[in-house]
Amino acid sequence: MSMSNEVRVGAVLIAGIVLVVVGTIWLQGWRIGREDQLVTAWFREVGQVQRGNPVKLRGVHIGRIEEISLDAGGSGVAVRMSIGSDVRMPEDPVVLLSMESLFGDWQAEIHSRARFPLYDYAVSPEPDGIPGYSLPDMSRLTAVADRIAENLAVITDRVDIAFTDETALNIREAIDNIQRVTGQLTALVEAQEQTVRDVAVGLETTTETLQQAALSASRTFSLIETAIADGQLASIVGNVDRLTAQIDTLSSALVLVSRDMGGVTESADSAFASLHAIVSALDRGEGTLGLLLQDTALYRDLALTSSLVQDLIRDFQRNPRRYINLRVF
Amino acid sequence: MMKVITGAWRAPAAWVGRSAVGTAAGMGRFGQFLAGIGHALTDVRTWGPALVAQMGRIGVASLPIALFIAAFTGIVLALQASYTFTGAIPKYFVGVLVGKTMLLELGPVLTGLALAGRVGANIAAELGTMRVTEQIDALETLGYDPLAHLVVPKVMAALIMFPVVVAFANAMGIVAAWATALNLLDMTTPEFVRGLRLFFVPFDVTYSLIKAASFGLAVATIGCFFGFTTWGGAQAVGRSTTQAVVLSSMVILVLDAFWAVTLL
Repeated sequence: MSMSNEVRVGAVLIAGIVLVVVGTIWLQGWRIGREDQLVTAWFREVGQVQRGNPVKLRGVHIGRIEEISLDAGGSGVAVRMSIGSDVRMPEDPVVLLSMESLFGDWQAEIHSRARFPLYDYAVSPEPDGIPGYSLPDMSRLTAVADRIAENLAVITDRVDIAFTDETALNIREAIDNIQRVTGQLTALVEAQEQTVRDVAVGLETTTETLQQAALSASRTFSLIETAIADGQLASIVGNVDRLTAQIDTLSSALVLVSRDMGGVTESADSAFASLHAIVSALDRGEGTLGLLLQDTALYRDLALTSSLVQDLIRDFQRNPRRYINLRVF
Repeated sequence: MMKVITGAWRAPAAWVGRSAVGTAAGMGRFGQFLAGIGHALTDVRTWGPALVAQMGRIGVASLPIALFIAAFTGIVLALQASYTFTGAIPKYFVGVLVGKTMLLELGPVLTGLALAGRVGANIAAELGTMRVTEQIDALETLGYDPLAHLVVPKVMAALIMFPVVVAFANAMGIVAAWATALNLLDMTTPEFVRGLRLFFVPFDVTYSLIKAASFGLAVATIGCFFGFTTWGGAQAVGRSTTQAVVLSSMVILVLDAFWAVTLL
């Protein structure tokens, strides 16, 4: 075998190997010599994302997805991405997985959380991991649209059943009624407008009065404050204090008097007992006074006697010489 | 039992019996042949020096036809993809279809079929001629192992060079499709490359090379077997060559399905 044949075979072999290696690297989108940083984002699920899908920041292709693996605990999916070392991540970054087009190709987009704050991002178990969220893919959107279409069909059927010619007439009448009621309400509102205006004026006046009262109260409080500051209140308090002491003295005196009232009461009680005995005796008709009180004959005699005496006195006054015969010498 | 099958049924039954026995015997001989190759593989000093020459004949010499087929396959693929993807489907899917189809299917299979015709026929004719001219018998008489001398270098060369040829064919098909897309389909390079990279995974290349290696092994082994077992004259050589090409092509398609089932 000639040397040229060996060279030819060797060259073809080497070229074939180089072609396979370089072609694979090129088709994967790797750039030799570029330093990448590896970033891990966490998701609850990753939709149709595959290794090699692009990573974008503000729409610019900055890297690719290197690895997709289930979390050991099974609670999430870790997506490892290689991005250029010169790429600066946004503040509080999050990763959104979404369809790049309608034909099944997906992408990972890095955003600031502030741009899409409402998504339920997966929590990263690693301190330097990035929270991520996977947007629904076409099949899920289609499923939701299918459900909505079914619901619309049901609603349409029900509307078909419910919306007869009679219903349409009723609705038209209802609209007419609403128009009439609206007109009446408008008239009522116009009528009440002056009343409301008067109430507003009254309220304004009241407010002014309240404002004046507040000013008076403010002045009063300031006077009180001034009085407190000038010591007048202290003087009043001193007077009240003295008055209280005098009342206290008076109370002591009253206590003493009330103590003496015991003896007085006893004396009065004894006097009342004696009076009671006298009254009882009189009531029984004992003694002269009792007999006088109880015996009506004696009363009549006494009244007669009194009358006679009066007659005698009158006669004596008219005719004193009858009874008095005064002689001097 | 023999008395039951009489008259008109006798000939077909005999044919089925002969075919079954012939198939079983052929499989037995093929198994024996494979065992002989396995045994001869240990004799590296015998087949090693002949390996590079066979790699040149089987691999390097096959590159032009493989590249030719791949180039036109790529062109047609791009045009048909563009013809199919009308309306809503974006143009960059031409790149997706070309890349995936060339790597996973058309590159290995068309190259394998082409090499089955060229390499398989060449091997079967060469060994068949050596068999009918008693050169192989001479080697055996002299105490040389004809498998180590004649078969193992060809099988090893095909095993090594088929993936290389398929790799070149894949690249040629993609480049031809790329040129077609740029010049005939009004596509841009970024569009085509985006499609190529969109669903590419490195396993696609591995899958393509595994298929190519298995096709090379099958084509070389079957060609060697039919050439080695040729018995008769020049007509038998032609028959062995035809059988080798036909069976190699069938085995390539069977292997194609087998790898698709097992690896994808």
